[in-house]
Amino acid sequence: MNKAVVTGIGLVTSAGIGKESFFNSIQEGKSGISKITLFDTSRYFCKEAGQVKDITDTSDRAYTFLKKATDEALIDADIEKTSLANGNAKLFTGTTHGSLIDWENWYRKIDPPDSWGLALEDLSIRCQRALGLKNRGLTISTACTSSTIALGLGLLAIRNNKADISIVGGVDVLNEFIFAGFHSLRALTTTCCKPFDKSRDGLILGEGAAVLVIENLDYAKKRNAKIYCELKGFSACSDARHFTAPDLTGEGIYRCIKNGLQDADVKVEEVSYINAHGTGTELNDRAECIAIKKLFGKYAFSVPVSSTKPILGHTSGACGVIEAALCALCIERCFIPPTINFEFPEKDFPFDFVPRKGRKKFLDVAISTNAAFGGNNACIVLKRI
Amino acid sequence: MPVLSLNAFSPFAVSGVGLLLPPRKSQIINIHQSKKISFFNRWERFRQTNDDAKMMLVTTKIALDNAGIDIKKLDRTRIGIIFATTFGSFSSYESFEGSVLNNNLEPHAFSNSLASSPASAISIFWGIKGPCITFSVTQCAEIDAIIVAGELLKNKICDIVLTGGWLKLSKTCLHYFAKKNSMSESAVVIVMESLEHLKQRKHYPYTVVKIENGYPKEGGYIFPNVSKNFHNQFEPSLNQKIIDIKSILDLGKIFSIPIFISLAKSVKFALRKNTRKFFVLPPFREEKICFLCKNTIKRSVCHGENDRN
Repeated sequence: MNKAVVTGIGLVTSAGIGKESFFNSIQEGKSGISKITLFDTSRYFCKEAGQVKDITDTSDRAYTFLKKATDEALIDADIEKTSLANGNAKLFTGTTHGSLIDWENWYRKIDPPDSWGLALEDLSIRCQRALGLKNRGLTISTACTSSTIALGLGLLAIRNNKADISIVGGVDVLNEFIFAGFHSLRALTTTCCKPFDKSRDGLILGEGAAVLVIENLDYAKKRNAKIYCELKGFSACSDARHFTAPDLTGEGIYRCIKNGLQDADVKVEEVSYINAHGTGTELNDRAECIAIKKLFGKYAFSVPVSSTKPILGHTSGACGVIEAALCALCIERCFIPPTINFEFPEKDFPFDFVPRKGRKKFLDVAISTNAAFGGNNACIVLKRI
Repeated sequence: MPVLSLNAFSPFAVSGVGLLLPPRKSQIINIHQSKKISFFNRWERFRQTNDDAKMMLVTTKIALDNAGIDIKKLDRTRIGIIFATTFGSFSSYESFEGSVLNNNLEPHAFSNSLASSPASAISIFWGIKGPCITFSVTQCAEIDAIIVAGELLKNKICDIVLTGGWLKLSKTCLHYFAKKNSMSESAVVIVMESLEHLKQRKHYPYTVVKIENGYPKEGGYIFPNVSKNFHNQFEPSLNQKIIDIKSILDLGKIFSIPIFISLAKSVKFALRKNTRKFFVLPPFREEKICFLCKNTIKRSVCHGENDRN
């Protein structure tokens, strides 16, 4: 079975465009959350989100994000597009709503008809053409686990010798439709996003894109590529309980992390850091804590667990790849990102949530988990190489 | 070209199919007239699901009955769902967007608008706890969903994978198709099962399917795909018999998930006609590909008839 390694990272987030700007914000705990200017928020109690400020145009926003992240990732991996066209590369994209913002503009008669791509897959088809790839891209849409599952499929393609390079992207953009949706579910915070804090009251939305270049280890070595870490394991499963709430027994998340570690052949004591989904909603954070406590036992109280959602906002289908990119950078740079806004833990879960400030630490294995509407769970395991 | 390579693709069994197509001379499925819909009436959340999910729930019920599967008796962590859709649930997009514009938000319409909501509904209703993935596919990319489902079986992650897709027309879709072609609503669920698992539970009949590169060379019955122009290069040999597709498919209709439909229809037809070996040519513009299908036993009656309304 081939090993898969991360060799390129591209990021477009509210906390920074480009991996350096992004990582500096994470290191400093500097939040990208700001007042929303993309649409009128006067009728919503929440007025803020992780909006990408440097790109103001709403037209074709999702593709702009994805393309920018892809270009950066390929430059970072030192891969030329011409070599991609001739090689065995596959494209995997995760998105919840794709170019919904363009559809919304059309539906509200802001844009002329047919200026939008109807299918979610439109984004990856355009990306594939821009890269000159022979193989059509594959688009996954499983809400907030979309791009985590895309990473898993990219990993499988390399493991099973079906690709030398998997280009895995995730993208979702803010628009009123999504904002109103979370508002209607009463999932948005009325104060600020405080994952795992006992006074947490909801999530903050965000937007962004990330692309990871995953390569067969032998292929990467042959071309002397810089390697961030190994993408070691993947798992996906379902709660089978509720459309919008997690299973409060934590059973689904527990099973997902357990299977992911098993797939990676990693023991719980070897895990150096958990990048939790950590949305800041009462139910999600509780379910995650229960699962971590059950799986990690006494080690749950010492392994660092953090959430970067208060910095980036919840980027829906893009969060899986953004958080995987963060884990890869943290392994490379020996850093544990903070959970900003965290103050007081719940009595039952006195974990190390890395409150407010990140810290330097040698990381060997990092896991990143995501959960989604419909009870979808996904987990990836990254390991130093 | 499929994203995932067909090399070393292991054969899988199709143990059941469910298929919902509109009545002749119509493009619309009235799901509320389906006989199977009463099966879900006691489920409180059924009323909150959209028609996309209702279509897929009913089709899954037909497929599971056809496969003789009582899910409660199986390990549900080893059952997966891999669906493919071209346009997701645009009717719910429109409902929720309407509620945003009217300042009367409908939370259910928002959660229903997710492309993954039909798969979630099935997972929740039957308690299916394996991987639950929805692909967005155009240009006949359902083949990738079938390949991923095959990978889950081959890697022993799942014993059974429910794979399929649907199209529910909406105002947006109709606007989009008005300039192109006239699409028909459809829903398909194919029960893919590992051969070991199928033999363990002693279910008959089933069809073993292998995906092959190129056009069929062996003798047997050939089912061309739903669109007539794709395979005009294919010249059958003397020992190959083309089954008149007009006899099993509604002509004049175009479906957004033609591979699922042609595979499901052909499997049902071949079982009914006791056809031991047959080939299905799915519509691929860019490459030649075929499903080599073998029925394991002969039988005279195929149970699990179409839920035509």
